[in-house]
Amino acid sequence: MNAILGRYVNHDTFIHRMDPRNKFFCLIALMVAVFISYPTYEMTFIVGGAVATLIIALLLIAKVRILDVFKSLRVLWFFILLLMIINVFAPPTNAINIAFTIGKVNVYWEAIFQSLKIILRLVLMIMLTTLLTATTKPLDLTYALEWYMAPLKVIRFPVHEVAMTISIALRFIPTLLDETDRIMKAQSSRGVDFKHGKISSRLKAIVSLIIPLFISSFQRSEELADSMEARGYDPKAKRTRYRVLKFSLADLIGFILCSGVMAATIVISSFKWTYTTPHFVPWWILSLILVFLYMLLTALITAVVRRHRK
Amino acid sequence: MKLIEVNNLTFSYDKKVNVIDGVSFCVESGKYISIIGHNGSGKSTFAKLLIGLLEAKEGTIKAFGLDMNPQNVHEIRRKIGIVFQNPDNQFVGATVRDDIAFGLENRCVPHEKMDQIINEFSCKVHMEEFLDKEPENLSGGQKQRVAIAGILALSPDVVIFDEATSMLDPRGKREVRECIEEMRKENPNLSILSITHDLEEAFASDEIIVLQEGKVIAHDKPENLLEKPDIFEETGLDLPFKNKLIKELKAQGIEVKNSDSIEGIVEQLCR
Amino acid sequence: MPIRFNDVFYTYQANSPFKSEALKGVSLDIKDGSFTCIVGHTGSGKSTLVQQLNGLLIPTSGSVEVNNFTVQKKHKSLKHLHSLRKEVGIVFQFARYQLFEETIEQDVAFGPMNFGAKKEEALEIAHECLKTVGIDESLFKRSPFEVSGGQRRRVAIAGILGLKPKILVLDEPTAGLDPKGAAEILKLFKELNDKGTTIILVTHDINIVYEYANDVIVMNEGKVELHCSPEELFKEDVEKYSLETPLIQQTVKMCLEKGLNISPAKIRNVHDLAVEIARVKK
Repeated sequence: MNAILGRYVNHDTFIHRMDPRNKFFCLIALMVAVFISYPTYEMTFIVGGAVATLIIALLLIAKVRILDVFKSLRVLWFFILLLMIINVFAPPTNAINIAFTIGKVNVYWEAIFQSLKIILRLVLMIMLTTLLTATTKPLDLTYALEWYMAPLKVIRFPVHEVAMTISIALRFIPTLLDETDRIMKAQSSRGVDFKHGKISSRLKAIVSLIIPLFISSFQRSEELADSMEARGYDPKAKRTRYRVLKFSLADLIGFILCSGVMAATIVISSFKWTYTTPHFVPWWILSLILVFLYMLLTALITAVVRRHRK
Repeated sequence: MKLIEVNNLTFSYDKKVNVIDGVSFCVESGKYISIIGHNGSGKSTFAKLLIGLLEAKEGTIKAFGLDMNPQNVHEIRRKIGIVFQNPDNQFVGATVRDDIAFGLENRCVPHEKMDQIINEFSCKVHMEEFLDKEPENLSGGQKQRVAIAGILALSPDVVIFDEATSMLDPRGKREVRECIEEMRKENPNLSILSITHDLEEAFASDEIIVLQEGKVIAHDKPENLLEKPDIFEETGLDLPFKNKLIKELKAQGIEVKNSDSIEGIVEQLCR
Repeated sequence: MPIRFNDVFYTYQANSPFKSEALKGVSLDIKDGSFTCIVGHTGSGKSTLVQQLNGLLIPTSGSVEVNNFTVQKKHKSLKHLHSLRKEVGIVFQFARYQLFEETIEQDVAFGPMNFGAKKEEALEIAHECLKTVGIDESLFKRSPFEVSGGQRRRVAIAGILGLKPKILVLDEPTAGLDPKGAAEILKLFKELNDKGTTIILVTHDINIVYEYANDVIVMNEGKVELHCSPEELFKEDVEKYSLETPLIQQTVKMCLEKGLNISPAKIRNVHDLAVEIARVKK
């Protein structure tokens, strides 16, 4: 999980300080913006590019290491490759412009474009989720989830218990990892080989790890439950809360921005706009200029926000 | 004043062997009582019975004027705190702060008062610098101190320590023992029940109850119990060093009187 | 052949920002057949040190020579280390967590089977080892989860004894045990040591050092602070190594200061002390 979604990194940025509930909403809003389809290529390029600019700027503001995001993409390279192959060899039916030919197969521009579009969306989606997980503590995410699930209380869904279970599970992840390490060492000392050997002995190796882990986890749960009960825990009874989530100005700004972007992209997608090239400026020069402008914009936004923070 | 009265308490896990067999005693306000016995003598089961995590087969427990039963157990638990053996398996919160807050949340302490209480009690156990640390970055002794803070924050009348130091290294043991001493100084009316097999700890208390196979075979002040060293032999416990020395010397035909310190004994030998 | 540490360094998570140096240049020899205690505060590197002995951890630099094996970075292939794990048996602190088989005898047989023993042979070895640790025959076919914590600990020890290691390493074997249980287990190790097994015991309990060890290694912040015999150790002020002075040593010192001419070399425990005092007073 750590490979794909960034772990929480503690910085004090605008986005870190936003309320987790709002961040969830903004994530969804921006996801919608990313996945909107536009009728023409030009629109996809320009509007999609603007959204991408915004997302990259947000990542920079949150001090997320972009390199780490690309590292996590490594995990998906196979999937991306497969996607490209499928799209190139099974092109959309309205494909007419041939880019080049490999042997007897025609590779269409439309197909290439389609693949790029999908890959770009994937990248942006990963960037957005990384943005969320890198700037929000897992526990805060749990609180946000609890708040969103609150309406389910009407149908007697155990919202509080689920949230408590998740937060305890999170707290014990490092403990369980330590325990796994210890058991592995103990079994390795008995001649168990976790890495080499035939399937049957490796299966046995895993069993020798899982059973003790399970047993100790059961014992742990019992002891924890005893301790919680002794401290007066009753999920059904009324309790007060120590950690209270509060909205702030940062949240208002974020909310307006993200819902604005979502609304804008939805509205724009209902129009159709084509760029008619002036003959003396080929499309690809224009594209490069646009890309350059976007990068400038990204840097500008980032710099302004960071300066304002200080 | 008698806070807890236990009368003829009997309990068994499998309906065959009584793990606790006809135990009777009482806990008075301000007393520090140790319950000792070898592993398997029923000590931890006893702790769970006192806090109502287990239901007795026979006999009664009366605490703070209430009979221990499913209706009263919540009220009784408000006044008894218990620190268990495993430092990890009682640490619920994501950080020290959250763990102390857990107890406060359960008792419906108003949100506004929580920070002040957390600060106050973390200072009492000298963990105020660690308030935002996560349990994986704390030692066993530190985690136990957090547990103690969490319990003291609820102002109990009785605190039970169920082998709270047996999983700790010497430093952790010392930290917890010092905590208990300070607790007693600050609150002389607090009663402490310490379940242990560490005799050095037990001999620091006011009264010692010796359990063997679920029965109380002795209940007396430490000094008095030392007059009957055979009790410790039977239960497989070790006498404190000083008393062991006296016993061994006696076996060699040298009589020495008990003294406050080892030095006192050595001086007797040199005369 | 003695166990030899050659300038061993060990760093946890060497490639990450969380790295921590646990061993900083350890060089020492442990003789065959010794009863060595390794002491030191938590975090001094004791556990890291012993885990180099069977290759659970490989030195970041430097090497460890154990019998005919060399544990060092170049030779990381597991086949090489597999046989080493038969020679050096390590029993960890909460070893009772390593039990997982359906019956106690099967669990103890697990170890020998991993090193090529056939099932019947392994079970025979298991029975022998279980008897050695004091587990009654009636429990052999029970599930390991039905017996007490103390008994599980013994089963875990039996599981390692089944490998017939020449060197037995124990990490805090008496932690959490009552005094009687602790004494029984230590007696077992003494017996094994008398029969020729090298015992390496990591502990916080200075009294164990006083009573059982003939060799002591004091670790501090990843380095070997002191490596000597217990007699030499107790001549010093051990408090400066963050160790507690055993009461028995304090008493011996007091006796000598006040003119009782007892000889410390003959004293390992309270009983010995009383005998010595009696001898001197006659």
